[in-house]
Formats: sequence, structure tokens, C-alpha cells
Amino acid sequence: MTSVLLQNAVFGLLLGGLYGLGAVGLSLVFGVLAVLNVAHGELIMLGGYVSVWLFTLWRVDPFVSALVAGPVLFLVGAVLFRLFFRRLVSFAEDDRIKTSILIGFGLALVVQTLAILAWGADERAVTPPYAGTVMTMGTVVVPLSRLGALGLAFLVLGGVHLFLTRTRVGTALRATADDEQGAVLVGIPIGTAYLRAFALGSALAGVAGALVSVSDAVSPAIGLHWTLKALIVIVLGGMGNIFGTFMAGLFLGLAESTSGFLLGNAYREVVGLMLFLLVLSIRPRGLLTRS
Amino acid sequence: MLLEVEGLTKTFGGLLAVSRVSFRVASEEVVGLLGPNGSGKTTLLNLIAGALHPDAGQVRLDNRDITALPANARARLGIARTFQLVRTLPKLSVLDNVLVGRLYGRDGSGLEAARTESLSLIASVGLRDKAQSPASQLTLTDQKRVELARALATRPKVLLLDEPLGGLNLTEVRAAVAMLRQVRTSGVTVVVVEHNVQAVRALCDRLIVFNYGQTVVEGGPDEVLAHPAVIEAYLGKSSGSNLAAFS
Amino acid sequence: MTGRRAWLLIALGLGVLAALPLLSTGSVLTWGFQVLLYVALAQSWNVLGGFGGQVSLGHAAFFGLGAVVTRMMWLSGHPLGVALSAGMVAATVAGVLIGAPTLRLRGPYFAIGTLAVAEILRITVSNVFPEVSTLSAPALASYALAPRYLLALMAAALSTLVAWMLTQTRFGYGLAVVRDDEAVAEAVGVNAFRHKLAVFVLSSALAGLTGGVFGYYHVSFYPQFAFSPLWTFDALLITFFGGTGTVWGPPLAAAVYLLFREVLALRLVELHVLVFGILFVLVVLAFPGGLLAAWRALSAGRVRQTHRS
Repeated sequence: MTSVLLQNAVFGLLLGGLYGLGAVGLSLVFGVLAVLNVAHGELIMLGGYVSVWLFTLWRVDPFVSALVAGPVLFLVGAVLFRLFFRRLVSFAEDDRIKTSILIGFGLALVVQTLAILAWGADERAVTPPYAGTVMTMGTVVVPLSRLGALGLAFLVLGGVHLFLTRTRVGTALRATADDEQGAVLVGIPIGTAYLRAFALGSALAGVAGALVSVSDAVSPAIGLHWTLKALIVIVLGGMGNIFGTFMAGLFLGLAESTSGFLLGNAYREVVGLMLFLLVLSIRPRGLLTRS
Repeated sequence: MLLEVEGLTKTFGGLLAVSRVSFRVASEEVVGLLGPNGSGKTTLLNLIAGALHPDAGQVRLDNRDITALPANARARLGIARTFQLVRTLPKLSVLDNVLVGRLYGRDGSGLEAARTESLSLIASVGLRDKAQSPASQLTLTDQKRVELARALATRPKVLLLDEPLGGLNLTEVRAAVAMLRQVRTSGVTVVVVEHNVQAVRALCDRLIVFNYGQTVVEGGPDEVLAHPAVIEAYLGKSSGSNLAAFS
Repeated sequence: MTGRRAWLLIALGLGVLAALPLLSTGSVLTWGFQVLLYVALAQSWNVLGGFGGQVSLGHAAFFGLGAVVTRMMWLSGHPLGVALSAGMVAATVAGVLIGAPTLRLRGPYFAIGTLAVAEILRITVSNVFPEVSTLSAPALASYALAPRYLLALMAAALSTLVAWMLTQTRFGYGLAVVRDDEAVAEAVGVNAFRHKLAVFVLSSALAGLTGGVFGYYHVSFYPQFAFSPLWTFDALLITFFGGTGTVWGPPLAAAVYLLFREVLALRLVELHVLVFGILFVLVVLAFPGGLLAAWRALSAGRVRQTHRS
């Protein structure tokens, strides 16, 4: 009993790391731009396909692909921002959020359909030679590839944290998130800050997507699933707080796996959504929010 | 007493905006609230209108405690307001902007009657020809007229005006003051926040001066405006525009 | 157009639509059914999102409830009218239970919250009713399209009537003010929350009825399919394309949408989603008034030009 519970907890934490990484990009974009890109899950899906492609063509290791998916999605994000989201900058915050949800929702449909047209609706998987290799600790089994994914997720987040706190560009992004008008007043080029934040958020989605491909199947339809996870994590962990978001991801993974064990696997998804609604009903603006 | 405010206190995250303010307004009286920016006047109007709820204190209308009532219920009991930054509904026509006040306000009318009554109110503020235009096409002074007509359409007992002359030029101020005089003679009780001292002197029966969320002086216009504490309140904290008003 | 002529035209249009089953069968009638189903679906969202300004992403929940409850009641032998009413009641009750908490959410959280609720329902339904629901052999043998079509016409007409009422009634005026500025609404005596809840419940009831028509129409479907977010997406797509908060925009857009779908599906099934997804984004960005406003602007431009020449 305890060993099964422990095993579930380990799987939950391994998955939760990906939830956290998947949510950080969305949180960054919302924090800086006040734009809620509900097509974020589709960007994660694209990151997954980068990995699938590189593996199918040249047997590239998914961990290497993750480092390719980041820059690729950075560019995709920059293009999406230029084409669609840049226009929202002049909107008042409430309108901007509402309109961004609608645009993201349209984009999600478009990206998903393009993915179906390009790669078909089937599930694809990446199977590196070490897939299935496990590390045994007492009674608990830890798949190495998932552990690696968690490790890389943690490293990437550490890097983002350093970027935001230790560099000029990162500081400018944080200032914009904190106080948009203030940032304008001190001479931060706000359009550039927006572009960078959106592209960086998309890049993080790309890395997350490639890491998803390590342990899960990739298909055009997975986007909404990941968007919902990211939204739940953000509400639990607070906007714009990187490590808070990561911890909330781990917590959600843990909560899902534990409840899956206790209530049956069919209801593990429902638990996260219930948590989300519970937090919202207590704090209608989320646990920790933009002031 | 028509409107009574007793011991009203409101803080925003530790900042004391209104502190134990009490005053009374008799029926058909016109009371002006004065004070430098940030002295708590708009907060006070919001507390009376029900847009904000106080941390302590009471608001009474016709001897009835309305402190717990939401804004919409207070509007139906007869408290109407205009906003400091004008808030017409740009997508709706002038008529529809005013109509909603007549439909939902104190003893609201049916659609047809409300339409007729709204049109005559719109005419009375001088916008007869613009009744069907979208509010977004109006100038600031016309938008303020729409707001006034909308507030009057609720048939208020008490009308709260938040800087009705703010942003208007000299000619517009004169026209607006004339219009407010008319409102006054129609028997509506008015509480007005306004920086234009000449206008305040011309319109109000009584003035209450605030600073740092508290009442400083209260009395007739001439008496209050000559009071040293009032001059100091303005001289001490506020900008030149208010100084000019005193000269 | 004078009032009487407009009514005459509408009555004539309804008459023609009601007579369609007499004139044609098969593919045209099926297409007609789908247009009407989507008119009802989009209009039921338009009532809440367009007229009420509350952008819900959980509309599928009420469509699904209507579909599943109606289907189950009907298949277990209850008269169709009872089954449809039960589906509508279920959606209405769910509207109260879901609307009351989610409408208190601020900013983006109302949209996300409703999406979350709909997903919870979808997953739960797929767990509780994993089996596909298929009509029995006798039911299939006596299956007729005409009554389904007429029911869809009724749902479409009813939801459009509700939308029209919102342009004519005190409640509709109050709602417009709540949509545009809640603080102003409260200041003139409109109870903003009550208006939002009322329109949420109204929208849910109409979505439940539309779902019920779908549940009665479809030969075989997985219960969870009726809860798919695609229903919400289609409703939004059509409403924005036609013009949010307009009475005739969504019906017009639904016809165009299904025409596109029919024509494009001959080439590629997914193509219409792509085309409409792009159109949707463009409309949201560039033409917030939708098809109707665009057409009015264009025709007004033409009138001005002819005057000038």
C-alpha cells in the first residue's frame, strides 16, 4: 500500500515538473503583456512535433531536440506576436485580456488543423534506445528518461530565473510586468519587451513540448489538455512567480497521481480542475495576482 | 434629515482615505464638498452611492440605514450620481443612455412612457437633436449632459455630482452652472464635489471642506471660503489651479 | 423597412422553411437541419456572450447536458416532449449552479472557469457513460428526418426570438448597460449580478434545448461527444463571424459557415476549420462588428459613392 502510494507520488512529481515548465511560459506572457494566450498548449504540441520530426529523420535524442525546439518556437512566437498580438497592446487591460483569449482560441483551432494537415491526426512517439530503462530505489521504480526531463525542466527554469534577475533585458521584462506605465516612463522600449516576453514564453512551450515527447505520445489534439494544465498551475502558483509556478506544477502532478490512486484513474483529471475552481471561488482573482 | 452620514471610515490597504466623517443634508439643500486632490471626496461619494462599502460608520436615507445595501438598491431608493471621469456608454445612443435610468430608477416606468420621459429630459439638457446619436460622437460637455440626464432620469432624492465642471471651458462652465441652477430649483437635493470655487459659491447653500479624509470646516459659502484653515488646506497641499480659484 | 413588412417577411421566411420537408428530402434537408441546429447553438451563445458580454468557454456543457438527458429519457420510452423538457430543465438547473459561482470571477477567470467546468463534465460523462449510444433497430426503421428538421427550426426560431426580445425589453436594456459598464448599471439601479445570472440561465436553457434536438437527431454518438469543446468553438466562431449582440448576424453566419463546410469538405474535411479559424481571428482583430457590420459599412460606402457621382 505505502509502496504503491510512493510509486504514484514519484510518477506524479515527474509529470508535475512538465506541468510546471508548460505553465511558466504562459505565466510569463500574461505577467508582462496581460495577454492570455490560450493557444499555449498548441505551442507545446508544436514543440513535441519538433522532437518527433528530428527523431524520425535523424534519430536525434529528444533531450537534444528540446534545445532545438526552444529556438524554433521562439521564432514562431515572434511571428505570432507580430501578426496578431501586437495589435492588442493599445487596448485597455480588460479588453486586451478578453480579446487575447478569443484570438488565442482562434489560433489554437488554426494551429491544430495545420498540424492535422501536415502530420495526420495519429499519435506519434519518440523511442530513444534508453526508453524503458529504470532506476530502482527500494520498491520504487524511476524511469530514467522522465527523471532526465524533470532535471532539464529544472535547469531551464533556473536559466530563465537568472535571465530575469541578472540581465538588463530580463530586468526590463520584470519592470514591464510590474508597472507598464512606469516602464514606459523610465525608457524601456515596451514593444520590444512585449515581443521578447512572448517569444520567450513560446520558446519555453517548445522546450516543454519536446520533453513531453520523451514520455508521452504527441498528437495535434493535445493542445487544450496542456493549456488547461497550465491555467490550473498558474492559478495555484500565482502569476509571474517562476518557482511558485514550478512548485504548483509538482503539486498538481502529485495531487493528480494520488487522487488517481485513491479514486480511480478516470477521475485524476477532474481533481485538478476542481482544485482550480476551489481556489478561484475563494480568491476570484487567483491566489497571487498582478496588482 | 434626508441624507445622514455618520462616522464613515474607509481605508485602502492601510491608507486612510476617509476618517470618521459625519454630516447631514436636509431636503432640497445643495451641499458642496471641497478639498485638495486626494482628500477623500470622491471616496466619500462612492461610499454614499454604494460603489464602495465603509469599514465603519453609517449612511442613512430618510432615516433608513442603507449602509448594507448595494449601489443598485440605493439607486432605486433615490440616490443618483455622475462620475468624475465621465462614463457614458459609447456604443449606445443618447436616448438609450438616459432611458435605462428611467427604466430602472426610482419608480421606473414602462418602455413607452420611459422613452417619452427620457426624450423630454434630453431636451431639457439641450440635446434634443442628438437623442439618436451614439454617445461616442459627443463632446465632453455633451457627454456630461447625458450623464446628468441619466442621473435625473432615475428621479433621485439625492443627486451626487463628482466634478461636474471638470474639463469644461469657460463658456461651457457658464452653461453648465445655469443648468445645475435649474436642477436646484426643481427640488432635487444635491451633494456636489467641485474645485471651481466661484461656481460652488453660486450654487451651494452650505460647504464642507475636507483634508486628509477628515472634515476641516463646515458652514455657509462665504464664511467657509474666508476661513484660514481652508486657505491653508489649499495653499499647503495643492497645485496652482486651486490657488487661482481663490483669487 | 416598416414594422409590419418586416413581420410579414419573417412569417413568410418561417413558412418557407417549415415547408422545406415537403419539397425536398435527403441531403438538402440534412443540410437545412444542420444550419438550423447551428443557428440555435450560436444564438444561445450570442444571448450570453454577445448581448450579455460574458464570454463563456463552457457552452458545450449545457448543449451536452441537453443532448444526453433528452436522449436517455427518449430512449427509455418517455414521450419526446417530456424528454426535451427534461433536457432543458437539466441545462437550466446546471445554468444556475454553474453561473452563480463563475459569474463572480473577474478578468480572464470567468472564461477559464467556465471552460474548466465544461471539461469536468465532459470527463465525468465519458467515465460514467463510456458506451456509444445507438438507436435500436425499430427506432432506426421508423427514423424520419422531417420531425427532426422541424424541431431544429423551432429551436432556431425560439433562440432568435429571445435574442430579438433582448433588443426590445427593459431586461435587454439593463443587460446592455451591464455589458458596457457594470458601475454605471449599478448606479442607475440595475442589479448587475442578477442580470448576468438571468441571461446565463436563459442561454443555458436554450443550449439545452438545442442539445436535445441533437440528441434526438443523431443515430449514434458517444455521450462525451456532445460535451466536446468543439460545440463551444463553433458557437463562438459563428457568432463572432456574424456579429456579436446582433439578432440576424448569427443566423446569416451559420448558413455561410455550413455552406463553406459543405463545399470545402469535398476537398478536405479540415479545411473549413482552417478557413474559419483564420476568418475568426481577422474578424476579432479588424472587424469587431462581424459580417453584418462589414456589409452595412460596405453598402453605406456604396450609397455614399453613388450620391457623389
